[in-house]
Amino acid sequence: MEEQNTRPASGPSSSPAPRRNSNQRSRTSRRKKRCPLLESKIDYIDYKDTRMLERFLGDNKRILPRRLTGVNTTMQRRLATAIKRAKQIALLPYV
Amino acid sequence: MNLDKNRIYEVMFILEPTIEEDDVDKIVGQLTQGVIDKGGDVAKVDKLGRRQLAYEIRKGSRKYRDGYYVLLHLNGTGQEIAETERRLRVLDPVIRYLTVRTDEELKRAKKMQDRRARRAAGRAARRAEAAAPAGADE
Repeated sequence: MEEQNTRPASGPSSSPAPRRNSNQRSRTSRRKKRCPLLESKIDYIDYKDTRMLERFLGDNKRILPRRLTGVNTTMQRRLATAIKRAKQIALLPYV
Repeated sequence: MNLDKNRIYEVMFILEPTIEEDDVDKIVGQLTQGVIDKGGDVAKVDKLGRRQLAYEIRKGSRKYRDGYYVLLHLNGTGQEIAETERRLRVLDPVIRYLTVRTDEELKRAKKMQDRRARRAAGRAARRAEAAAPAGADE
């Protein structure tokens, strides 16, 4: 798994291929983001852990996209559920 | 319908902030009794206490800025959840409640933990093997 995760970093997405003519962002060397939840070894996303959940909310209290946080797909789904639960029970604000 | 008594639930509810400690215990007692009557059991009661609400909740004509949080850990079949929620709806000081079934999530988390432990053990073993030269056998 760990070996696999490092692979796309050296893949075509981040290599400074000269013929890439996309936007500015791809020119700066982009490092492959690692999932912060896997890194910190969080297996169970608890809706009561507001401190942890807040890290994945933007200023407007909306759930941040994976593209910004680097959370993997599975965890993003569970994270979203946990955040929504926390909002229902007024542990986290809606706006 | 699967009626195995192996589900784990968390029921969290918010009571009026002005509630007395005795009344909290009374409500918890009522709910616990209801759960037991349905064949479940209450594993743990967490009185999380008064906490500011993340947003204002209106209930009837009243507005609440804070509330008294209580968390129940239940084991059972699912039957007692219906009963608990019915009671929570009827009880006057309850501002809001939320039921979450956690057993499957916990099982998954356990699996992940086990896998991590196994991997770490494997890594340690491999490192030990690499550190000890091939000649140094037992």
